[in-house]
Amino acid sequence: MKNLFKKHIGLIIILIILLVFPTSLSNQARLNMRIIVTGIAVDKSEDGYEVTAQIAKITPGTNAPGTNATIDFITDKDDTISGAISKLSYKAGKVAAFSHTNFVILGKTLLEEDITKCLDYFIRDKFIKNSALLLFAEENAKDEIMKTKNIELSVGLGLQKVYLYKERDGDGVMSTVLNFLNNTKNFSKTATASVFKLASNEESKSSESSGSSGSGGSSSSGEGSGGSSSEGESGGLEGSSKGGGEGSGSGGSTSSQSSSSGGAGGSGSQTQFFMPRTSIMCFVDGQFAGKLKEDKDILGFMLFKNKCTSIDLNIEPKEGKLAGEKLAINIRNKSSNYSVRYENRKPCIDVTFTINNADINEILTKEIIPELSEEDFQIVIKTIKETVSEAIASSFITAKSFGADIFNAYENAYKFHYKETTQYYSSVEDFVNDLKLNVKVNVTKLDY
Amino acid sequence: MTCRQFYIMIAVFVISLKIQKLPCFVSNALEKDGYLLILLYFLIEFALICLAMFIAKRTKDQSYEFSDSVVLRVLKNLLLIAVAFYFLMQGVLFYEAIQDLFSHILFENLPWTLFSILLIALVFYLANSGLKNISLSFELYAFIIFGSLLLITIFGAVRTDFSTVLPFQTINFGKIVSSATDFSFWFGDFFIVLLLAREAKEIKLKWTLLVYTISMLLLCLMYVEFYSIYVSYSSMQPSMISTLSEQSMLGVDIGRIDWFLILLSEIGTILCSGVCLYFAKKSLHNVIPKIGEGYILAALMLILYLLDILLLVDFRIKMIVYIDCLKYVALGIKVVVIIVGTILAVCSKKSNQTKSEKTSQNNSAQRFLKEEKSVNQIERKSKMPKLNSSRKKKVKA
Repeated sequence: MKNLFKKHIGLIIILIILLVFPTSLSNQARLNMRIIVTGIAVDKSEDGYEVTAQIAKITPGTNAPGTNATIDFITDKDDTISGAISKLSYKAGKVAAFSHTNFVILGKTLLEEDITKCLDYFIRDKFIKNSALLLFAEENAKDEIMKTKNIELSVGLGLQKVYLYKERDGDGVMSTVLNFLNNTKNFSKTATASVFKLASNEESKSSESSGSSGSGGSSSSGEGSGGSSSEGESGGLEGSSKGGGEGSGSGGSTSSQSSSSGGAGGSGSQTQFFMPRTSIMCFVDGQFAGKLKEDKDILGFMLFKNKCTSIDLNIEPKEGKLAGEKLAINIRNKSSNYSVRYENRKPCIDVTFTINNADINEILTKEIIPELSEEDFQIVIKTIKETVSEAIASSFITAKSFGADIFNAYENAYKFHYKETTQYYSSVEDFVNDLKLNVKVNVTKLDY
Repeated sequence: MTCRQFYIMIAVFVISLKIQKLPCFVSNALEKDGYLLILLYFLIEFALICLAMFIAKRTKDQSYEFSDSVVLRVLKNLLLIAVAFYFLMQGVLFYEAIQDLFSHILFENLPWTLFSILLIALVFYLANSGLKNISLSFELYAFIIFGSLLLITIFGAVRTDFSTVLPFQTINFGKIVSSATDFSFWFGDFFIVLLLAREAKEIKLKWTLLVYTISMLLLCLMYVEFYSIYVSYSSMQPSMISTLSEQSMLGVDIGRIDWFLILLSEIGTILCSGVCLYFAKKSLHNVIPKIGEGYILAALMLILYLLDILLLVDFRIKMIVYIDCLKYVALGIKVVVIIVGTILAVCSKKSNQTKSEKTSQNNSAQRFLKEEKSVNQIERKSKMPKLNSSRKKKVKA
């Protein structure tokens, strides 16, 4: 046997190469026949579901970086999401590659039903990653996804990256499809996701006049910072940013004028698009429960979750030399811990928030104050503690009002106090109704 | 095979078989308590490995001839055929993991019937090259395989919430024990320890147990990470090894670089497939020694190829075959092997004892004879008359 093998080894190798080589000859042709789907938007229609795919089209003959692709869209409808998506390839006349899909936007019309039904396709499909970012549109998901054509290419195609940076700056939640579904299925049954919205500077000007805070660049929170950031920020992820990490400019505000990809939005257009701060949607058991809309609520939620590397805080001391003055604090290093206990058969969540390192970035006074007195310093620390406590409490109360356990207190209680939890409460709703919050804030180090 | 190669082979074999589809099945049955199943098997296998090492030590370099008894010969052949079948099916399990990775996860349009031929040729070469070469291959790739597995585990740990295993009050031990038999085909590592220990030199029980313990604890950790990341959707994942580190790479611009680690760790799976086919070939060759090992191996590879391409194509069929049908076969074969191995080991001791008794008896008989001879000589000497003095007296008279 060995001799036989050794004698004819050359022939065997040639045969094997002849068998497999022809299959690779069509690889280039297959690549040319592919379209890359980078995002999907789903709306409910009368016929079923309407699916819009954001595709990256390679522009032939371009060499300059950033000019060799454009964003395009294909839409189709079917009874099921799977059917609609399979029709997209047919419509495009090419093979759709879904492995680069990094975000999914669900429209308002889907909020009427159980969201987990819509996401069933995305968790089962082996090509669309279940680590894709999940977003919700305030109105029509198709309209929102089509606006991505007006922003810089890398931002428009890579919303997941943008929301990762937003989360690090405390500006939004980067919830993947898998995380969302897991949170829906866990003991607390509460899941959160960010709203996706692209606003133009025209909309922003009109909203400014009505006094809303549409901040796009700075990740400040607490007080409504307001103002369009299009003047201050130069573009997308290269814009000015705070906190650690490269390109951590939250919001990804860009102007189509400064965009290097000429195809996006059209050069010379006056309308500039940016991502304003948007609300966080809460779902209980797959059903839409409510939103965290106020800046204070979003701040409190982001502080509690502790997924941001740095976060900005605007405070206003009520006493001392700095009474009535505005201070900007940058919290660089913090930790958040919580535990649930039972007090007289009622659950209480104890949150301990520790600020390990913070800076006073700005003191808005008429005179420059080079140094704070000990008394003023203690007042600033006290105000920081109060602001953080109020923000966390505000988010808790708002979520509790629509029955959402955004702090996952029930899950914590179920895991660590199984006996009491099962004894006193049979449902999450009753638990959340009786849940109390106790916040303790410590400031270890504050520089100025 | 050196002892180092033996320990590496044990570790890779133990881990590679269980990091593929098994955690998905276990999570479907036991959810958060699946790691307890692994711990349960660990405890059972710990004791069985001690027994396996004892059997290997006693039966090493022993050949057992049953030419006198037809019944014993038939039973021996049946057992060897069963062992060959067991290793063939285990080889299919390893092979199917590679197919799943390449044709279903990495490349959706890969014509597996064609590309499988390349892999079949590789496994054939491995199994035909002998245990020495296989063990050398294991040693060569050990650092790559273990390094990749370790990095994948670390990446998975970044996203893990270890409190997922709580609360402990909801653990249903009865369910764990009753569902343990469903996955018996994936466990039973003492069997491979027994076979490899007969071929290895200077292996120590304590190091074998240590290697096995570390491997199983790593497996436990990987399962906890896998379940805590995917929770209710763990059973829907294609395999544990390909999805464990997926959620940790979201901020990286160059896509999933962890695929390199997954592919490198799958080298162990291919090598283990070769080991299984090697032992299947050896077992069959003992039954029909007239046919060359190469031809037997070629037939086994053809069967493996056909099973993979034609019979076990459907995931549901695979589940039914391995979980519902083969579990009894696997359990039966392992029980019989334990019993037969223990008997042979004890008989080897008895036969050694009788041999030593015989030799000691021979020695004592020889000593007795020598002593008697010397005593006789002394007696003869003492009985012999003193001729000179009497002759002298007679002469004087």
